[in-house]
Amino acid sequence: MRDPREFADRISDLQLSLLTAFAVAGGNYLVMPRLVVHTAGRDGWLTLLLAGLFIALAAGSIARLQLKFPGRTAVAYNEALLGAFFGKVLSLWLLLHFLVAASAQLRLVTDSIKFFLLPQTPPEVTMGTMLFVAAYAVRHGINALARLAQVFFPIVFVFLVLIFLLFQTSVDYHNLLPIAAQGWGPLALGTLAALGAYQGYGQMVFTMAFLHRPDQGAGAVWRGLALVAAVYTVTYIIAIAVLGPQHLAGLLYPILDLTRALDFPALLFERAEILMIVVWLLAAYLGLAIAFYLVALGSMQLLHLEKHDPLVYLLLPAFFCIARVPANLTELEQLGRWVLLSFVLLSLTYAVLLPVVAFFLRGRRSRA
Amino acid sequence: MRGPKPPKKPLPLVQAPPRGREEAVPRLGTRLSHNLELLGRYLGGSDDVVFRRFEVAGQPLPGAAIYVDGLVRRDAVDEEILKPVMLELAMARERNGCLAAGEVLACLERRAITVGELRRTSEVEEIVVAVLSGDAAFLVEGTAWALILNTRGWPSRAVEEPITESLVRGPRDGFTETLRTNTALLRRHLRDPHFKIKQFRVGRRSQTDCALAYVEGIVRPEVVEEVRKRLETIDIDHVTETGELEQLIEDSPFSLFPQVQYSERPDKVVAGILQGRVAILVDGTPFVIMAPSVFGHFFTSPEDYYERWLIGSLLRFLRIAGSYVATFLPAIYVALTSYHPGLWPTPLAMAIAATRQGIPFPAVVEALIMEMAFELLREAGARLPRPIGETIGIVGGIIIGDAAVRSRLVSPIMVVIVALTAIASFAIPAYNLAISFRILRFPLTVAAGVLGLYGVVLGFIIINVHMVCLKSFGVVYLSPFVPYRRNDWKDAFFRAPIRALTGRPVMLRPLDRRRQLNRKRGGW
Repeated sequence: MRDPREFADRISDLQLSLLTAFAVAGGNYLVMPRLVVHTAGRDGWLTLLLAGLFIALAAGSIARLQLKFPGRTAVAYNEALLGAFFGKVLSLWLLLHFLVAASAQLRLVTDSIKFFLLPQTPPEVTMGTMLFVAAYAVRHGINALARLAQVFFPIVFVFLVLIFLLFQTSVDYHNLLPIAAQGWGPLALGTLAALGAYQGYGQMVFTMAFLHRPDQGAGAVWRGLALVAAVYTVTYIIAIAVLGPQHLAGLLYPILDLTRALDFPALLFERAEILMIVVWLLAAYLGLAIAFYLVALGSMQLLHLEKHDPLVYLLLPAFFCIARVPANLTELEQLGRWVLLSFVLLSLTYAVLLPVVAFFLRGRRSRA
Repeated sequence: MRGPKPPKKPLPLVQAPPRGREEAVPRLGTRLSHNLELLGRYLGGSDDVVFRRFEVAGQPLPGAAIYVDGLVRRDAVDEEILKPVMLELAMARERNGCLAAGEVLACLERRAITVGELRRTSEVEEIVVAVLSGDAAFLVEGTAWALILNTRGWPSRAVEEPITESLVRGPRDGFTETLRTNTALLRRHLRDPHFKIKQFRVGRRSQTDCALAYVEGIVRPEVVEEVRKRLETIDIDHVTETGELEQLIEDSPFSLFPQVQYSERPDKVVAGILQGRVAILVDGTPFVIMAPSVFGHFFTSPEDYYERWLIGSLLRFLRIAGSYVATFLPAIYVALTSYHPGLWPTPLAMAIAATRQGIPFPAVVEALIMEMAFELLREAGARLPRPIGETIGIVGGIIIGDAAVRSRLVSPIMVVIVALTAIASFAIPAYNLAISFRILRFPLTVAAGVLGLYGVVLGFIIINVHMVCLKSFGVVYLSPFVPYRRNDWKDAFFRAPIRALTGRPVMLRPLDRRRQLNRKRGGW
């Protein structure tokens, strides 16, 4: 295995935080309330916080594991830990997971574009253009993505804060009460479901290899996750406060439908949901591009190639085809459940199994 | 002693010497007639080159002065060279008695010639280039040396207010076409002994004088080295403008964005040099370029600093907003009218729909036609003599615009949009960046026509991806915005009070970070 410490590109902790935030929220935010509202109802915000905590624990464990291999990506250290065969299998699974998860999210985004922006444009067009533009950024590597995150972050963040503030005229916080009325059972179930809203934090197994100071990785990922958790929680609270749990449960694109309910001061624009999707496209794009880059980078390392950019246009049709596979929303949701299962298993592998293996390996090595 | 045989082949000045092979450098001999023949090989045949022969100090000692008529100060040649050498020295001959053989030149140099700057050389090519640059060459029988006397002086424009960068408040001097004047203007602003001006020549045929200007101890030596290295790779016959030089040394020649900033204003260039940048001057143009330059530099104007900080900040904010308007306004208008009319407030949507009643084209075609017409107008007016240029504005803007609206070719709102876009693009202080935005407008408008707001967002993303990848001499183009450099934000989106601007921009990594020390203000 080529030693990836040769990576010339480096990113700062702040950039890793933002990459984490975009990788997690970019694809999940638009549908995040739908994941938890059915099980946890009005207490969903609590489950989102709890799930964020669990994910943060897992991220901390992965970051410790990563510290044992500074400058190396998962594809490089899988084989060091599990041996050539199982290591390759795990790497392949990891890449496939990112590929399918990103494709599913691409599908979701293009579906909402069709629904809210361009009802007559075939989704293949939006999908294709989105992928090509993503490929353009991916070819330029991690630095382009990290800086892009820094460009988009203020735009997206300021817009969200603005929306949150504008909602303050139409909220009814009594909708949030009572807390935990159905007991703790639904909350526990909801927390499990809410884990799905944090898919994408796994990009750290690749991006941490680029850090200037690898020991800052855990903190950086935590800050990114904290930002996402905060945005999720506030959004969910506002969604419940504005719409109530019953109404929220019936929505297909909860965030966009929520912003539609916004009493926008009609100064220059009406219909905030179009603005919302336009702004969120930046985040969704970046989430897709990050996953795309990881798949390209991982494949490069798996195939022992020198550069990742020739792979970009080879991988592009794969994303396109997988995103087109689900025939309808039900099938897309089914796919989403498989992805969620794979996500949980992968998280357990990297946060629990591999650290244990590493521990025993080190023990054996020190004895020898 | 005779010098080496003069070359019979074509002149090496205009031929690239074969790489790796050492050429014998042609040198002067001791016989004047031979030397004149040697120089005549290069300089003869041009009627503006003067070979003036004379006898030194009334003795039978022949000498010659060679200069290009028109490039020298005639009175300098007459009064400071010929007159003392031929007459005054003759009168003082008995007292001096120093015209012994072999010492002629030293004696003349010490006692007769009153030109301030002179040097000796025996290399023929150096003499030729010097003469063609406006120096006078002075030769005497019996020595293998020539004196190069700085007599340069040619008709040049006076220092005037720069036309392209006029300010309400600020110094009114601008660079001229003469390199020496320009370096002097810089030196007048900056009496720092660390402020260095290094001259070099570019252009195999033109032998254009260029200069690097920077402050040692502020600028990163790597940056100067990088600039020098890139300049050394240039092998071209002729350079007239820093614009050409810029294109030869910039990082990404295929980018739409300028990566090097230019200015006609000494104050602006001095400010840039003091930030830790390198200025490049070229003889023959008033435009001086500065490197590295980042995106933010193109939005600054010296006036930001001369006016009080709040005004400077607001104006800068206005310019940045203007750049967005200039780039995205037509695209957003097209996207909203063709795809998402619901986004307008209802009364506005009605108004737009009413004015678009009976317009034969879709909004995107209408926008492209109007933008194209506007660009044509601007291009047509740019090079016309001023009185006719104004007519173009009246004919194009008022008559055609009005007629087009009346005949229902375009909607009045479209005219408003195009005019707004144009005004916004004029608000960007850097002309070269404004052109980039003007060009970007067209693909964005097309994208908006095809994919609505989604197309505009994709365009925005592509522009951003391109910009985050750009670098100017090792500095990320979008700094200090991205990557975040909070120290430099004091002078980025807005301009903090002068007292708060205590450091130089960190993004350029200057050796000397400190710009001012905050002392307690005296007085009341």
